[in-house]
Amino acid sequence: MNMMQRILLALAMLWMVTPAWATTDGPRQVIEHTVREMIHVLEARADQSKLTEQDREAIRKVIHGKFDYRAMARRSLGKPWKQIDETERAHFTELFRQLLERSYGNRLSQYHGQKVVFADAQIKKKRARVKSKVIDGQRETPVEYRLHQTKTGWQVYDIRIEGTSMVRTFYQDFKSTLAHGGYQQLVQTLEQKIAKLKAHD
Amino acid sequence: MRRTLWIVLALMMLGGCATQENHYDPLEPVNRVTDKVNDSIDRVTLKPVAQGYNYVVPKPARTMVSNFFDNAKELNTVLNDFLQGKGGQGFQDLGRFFINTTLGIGGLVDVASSMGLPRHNEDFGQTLGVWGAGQGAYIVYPLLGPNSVRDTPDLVTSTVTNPLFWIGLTLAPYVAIPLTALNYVDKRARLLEASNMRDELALDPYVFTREAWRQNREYLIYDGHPPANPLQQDDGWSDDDWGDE
Repeated sequence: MNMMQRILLALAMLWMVTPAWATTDGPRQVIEHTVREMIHVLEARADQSKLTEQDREAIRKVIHGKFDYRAMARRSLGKPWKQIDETERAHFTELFRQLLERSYGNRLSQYHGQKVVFADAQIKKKRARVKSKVIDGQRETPVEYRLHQTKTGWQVYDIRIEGTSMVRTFYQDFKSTLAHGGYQQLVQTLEQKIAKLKAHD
Repeated sequence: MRRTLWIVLALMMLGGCATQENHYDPLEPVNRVTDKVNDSIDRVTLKPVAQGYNYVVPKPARTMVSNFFDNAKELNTVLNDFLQGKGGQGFQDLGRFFINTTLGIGGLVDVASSMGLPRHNEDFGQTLGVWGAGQGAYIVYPLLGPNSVRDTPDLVTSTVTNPLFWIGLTLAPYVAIPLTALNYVDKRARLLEASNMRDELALDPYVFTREAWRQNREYLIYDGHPPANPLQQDDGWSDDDWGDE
């Protein structure tokens, strides 16, 4: 092999490796990879009936940068988002993340070998949707992920299970609390809810 | 009788035109009370029973039970396939019913799915939706839970198309009671995950359930391709528009 060939080979390899660290992963790859990693964590558990704090931490790491909690929180809150300042927004996003992580984790703890299959992403400018099916024996549950393009790649901003949008359901739910006690009441209720969930395990 | 039915149908269509809002809920005060009562009864009866059932009965057996009750509902699916003009799917589902009832031992095993005849989900509420009827008022029925004006007639069609109802009525009334009980335990067991999620996530469980239920019904009516929701002034929520939906 002469020098030129070596350089070409090196360049070719570099090009092949690039997608792993650059932000060129498509929406389907992003969510499919995230779900596979999560399943990997779940399968590696010593006790298959629950999640330990380490498992939760491992899942958090897998999701990090793939779920846009801020966008989810903003869409779930609706109008009041415009009226709160940056500190409050960060605080609200954090509460939202904790609530979701807890509950999502509790669902995941029930994992018992279901298969997940993905369809190709449909992309419209900066938004994409990826349809998937959770297959449990002969029963299938359709789960759809909505992603949007961010500076650090595609990120999930909504999950629809059997047609029910998580963010949209939160939006209506939050609206009810907002109507009765305003933003402060909403934050307080969320804090209580999270404390209760944490005390539960 | 027939006349009354048509009048009821006509009224429901009218109701449909007048109620484009998502959270049209004129019965909310009554519904909230029913929901509370249902929930407190559920917590001490059906929920613990369903949890115990999940714990004691192994998964394959539970799947058989679910298959059995789903197969008994298959004729309602067939009826509504045809009513929605889905002739091909209607014959497929009829084939499913015969195959699963015979080869699948009374519906315990869903052999039809592995033969390329997948399960479909249709009922009379969806048919009325396809025909253009709006949801009408959201109703929480005692013990039965979330429902609506549009989904109420299905309580009748799903009963009269169910062979178990006729068997129980004519041949063996004494098996009807334990069978009905098992049906409810099976139903509740399948809803455990969803109800746990509601308990964990919902700030206002009533609104949370109403919204999740409504979206799921919409999804079923459009067979998984509901249209994007246009921005509504009172709603403030804007959906992403995906051409084909």
